[in-house]
Amino acid sequence: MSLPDSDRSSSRRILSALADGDATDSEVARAFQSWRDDPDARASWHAYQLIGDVLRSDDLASEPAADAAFLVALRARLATEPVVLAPQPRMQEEAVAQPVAANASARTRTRWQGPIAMAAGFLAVIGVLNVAGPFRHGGNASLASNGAPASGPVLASTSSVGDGGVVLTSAQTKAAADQLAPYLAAHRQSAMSGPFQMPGSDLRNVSLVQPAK
Amino acid sequence: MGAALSTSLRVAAPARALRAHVPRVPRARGAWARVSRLSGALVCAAALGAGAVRAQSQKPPAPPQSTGSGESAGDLHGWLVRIHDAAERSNYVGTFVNSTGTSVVSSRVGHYSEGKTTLERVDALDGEPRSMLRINDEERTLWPRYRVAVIEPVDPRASFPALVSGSEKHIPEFYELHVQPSERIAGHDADRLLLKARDDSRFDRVIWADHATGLLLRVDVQAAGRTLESSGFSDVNIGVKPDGAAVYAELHRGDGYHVVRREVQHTQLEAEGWTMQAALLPAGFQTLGCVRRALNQGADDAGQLRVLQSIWSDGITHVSLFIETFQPQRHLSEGLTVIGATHSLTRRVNDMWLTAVGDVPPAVLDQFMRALQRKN
Repeated sequence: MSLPDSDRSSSRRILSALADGDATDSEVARAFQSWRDDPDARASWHAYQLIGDVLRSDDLASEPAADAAFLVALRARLATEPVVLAPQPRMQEEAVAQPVAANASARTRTRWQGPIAMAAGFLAVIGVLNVAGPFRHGGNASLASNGAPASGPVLASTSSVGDGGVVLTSAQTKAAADQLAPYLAAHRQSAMSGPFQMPGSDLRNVSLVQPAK
Repeated sequence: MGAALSTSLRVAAPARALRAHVPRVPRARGAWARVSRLSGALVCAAALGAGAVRAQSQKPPAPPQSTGSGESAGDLHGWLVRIHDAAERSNYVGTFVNSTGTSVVSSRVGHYSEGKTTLERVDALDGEPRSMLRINDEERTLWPRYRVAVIEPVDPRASFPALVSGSEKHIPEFYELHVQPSERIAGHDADRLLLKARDDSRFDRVIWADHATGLLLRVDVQAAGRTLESSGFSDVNIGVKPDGAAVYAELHRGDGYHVVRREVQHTQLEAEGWTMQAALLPAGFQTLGCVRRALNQGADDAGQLRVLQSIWSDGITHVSLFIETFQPQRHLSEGLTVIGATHSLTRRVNDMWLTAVGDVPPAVLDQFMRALQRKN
């Protein structure tokens, strides 16, 4: 995407300020956006850096494509990083068809290795789904479109990461949360007989989705 | 701490008095019945007979005597009885707050004990408006914006399974009790207890109980010293005058609402064609029962989805294992989800879909899933 000339000069001024360390917060955000969207901005950014680098040493000169190549390589490396514990898309049909024992042991090896405490850092964390009504029909009803208060349902800001570093979309995360909500509610109710349950604690972190129409 | 000196006497007295009442207690329903029949423990009486406790003494029992940081089965039992008793007997109104680190949810809670009737009203203060009204063992949830009232039975909180089954005796095998320096919580002087897990199959719990009455004020769930979730009162008035009218008035607000009744059927895992391999289960967890229940039950949902729920407890925390037929349109993603201390694991195994939920480390949920097998 290319920008009009006026925007471009503005964009370059901001990039220049960023390169010099003078950019304000809002300018930083704009600079990042233009760097992402505008190939010219990336070239300009590289030029500014190159000027600075060459002033310091000729050895630091590099091709404009080097930045992009570095990013591609970085993404590839990130994608191969292991994720210890994470929600995953449903297994492929053929994989599921394996005998239970083999299935379980394979999963045990792959999913439960490593200290749980460390794994916690990789988990998908869903914030409170504290909205909703007593029940819902269908799997993907949007909370907002069903009239829930805008301030109510908040899916966790934390992203969920699938195997292989695939970032699940918020829709997938929300679908997983919706799927889970009635189970959480049923569990809460059953657990209310526990020794340390207080009235109100069965409301905690349970999204009971939308009431029937 | 003068009151603490008489602890053992005062805790034991109502329990002894109540033993005589046990046969008159209606047999627990369904799956709970088996647990109840097992109970020979005198604590059963304390758990089931709060009313008789009131008859014996209006004064709450004093905190169990303690050396300060010691631990013993006797101490723990005393604390459990005291906390449970206070939860049933007290009249209180307060604001209950649950914090998971990523979110804070609060509700207004009123709990009243009038004679043999227990009344409770909980109004959610965040999100969708709803009121939960409990009268003895029935709970109604009113959703005013949807004009829907959901009525469901609640297992009497007095059942307190760990005490009823006598399995609380085993709790010290899995948790160390540490009585810690008292603190001020929600405007009250509170006794602070640490239940420290002895293995990796459970989380630690820090518990604050009102020093004067024993009412639970706050519970933190911790793992390796890190708080995963905190639930408790931000403010609470204990010893208020019972206000049953507040509950009944709200009940009538539901007149004209569409009523949905949710039932659970008590059953047994084995009767449903399943069994758990004891050797694969995490240590200390015993079954509390098994029910068939509807999920996502709607007013006009004739073909409601029913799942089997097997409930397990180590006396302190619970794990639910849900078993149902796999449905591709509903069961969208496998894996682990964490909300505060609550971990949920979903997995497809052949044509079945398993969901395990509990305030336990994820490896424990995996153990439950692997322990499940078809009965031959």
